[in-house]
Amino acid sequence: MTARVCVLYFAKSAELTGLKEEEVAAVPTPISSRDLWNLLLQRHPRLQTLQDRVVLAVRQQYVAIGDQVAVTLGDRDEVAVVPPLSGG
Amino acid sequence: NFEPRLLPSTNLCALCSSNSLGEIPRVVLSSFFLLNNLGLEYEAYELMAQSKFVKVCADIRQCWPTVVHICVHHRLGWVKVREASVVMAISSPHRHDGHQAIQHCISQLKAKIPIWKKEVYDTQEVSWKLSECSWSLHSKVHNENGNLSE
Repeated sequence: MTARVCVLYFAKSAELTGLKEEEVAAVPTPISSRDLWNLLLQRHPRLQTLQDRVVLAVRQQYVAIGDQVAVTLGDRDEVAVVPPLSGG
Repeated sequence: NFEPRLLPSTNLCALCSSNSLGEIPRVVLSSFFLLNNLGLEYEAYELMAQSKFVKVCADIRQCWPTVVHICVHHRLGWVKVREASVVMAISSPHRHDGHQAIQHCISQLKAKIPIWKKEVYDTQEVSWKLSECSWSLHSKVHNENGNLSE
């Protein structure tokens, strides 16, 4: 199965991709968060700068990037790229 | 509450001081001032930040049941040097609970709330700040079930 998701880019990741958001179609689901990250890396190789210092947020829940981390996606789900936080 | 404009600290105290329980509430106020830079630009994943804040408040009420009111205002967008970017007020009839709750609120803000700031210098240099969230270090430790500890 695949899903069409809305990917949001924040902070450094928005600078690296030049985008605040984009629709990505045909994302396999379920998918490991590692594969999901790699899919975004393929679209935007400059995201490599954030490797190991980034997490994702799927439907507004944080998801660490890992091979064992399974994510299920539905159409119109939000996936956010979350660089290190710096609120406050 | 996310505010683009100046933060009303006196209003926060007033909001937190409403006295529905008949106790004398003590208001612990914490604010962060920017001293050394031209300013900061704040950005947030707003919907998620709202829901994460709701959870932080629920946790605070569970840990410190004497807490009466919790008010957090966080500015987004441009914040000039010497202006406050965050104001928090927590009221409780027990001063100790208020202090502990506000420390927890600050640390959870920094660790969990999807907000980012970048420093803007007068040299036109910008720099995204890092903080104490668990993925800001080059750590190889991954939580196997994928859930960052809440």
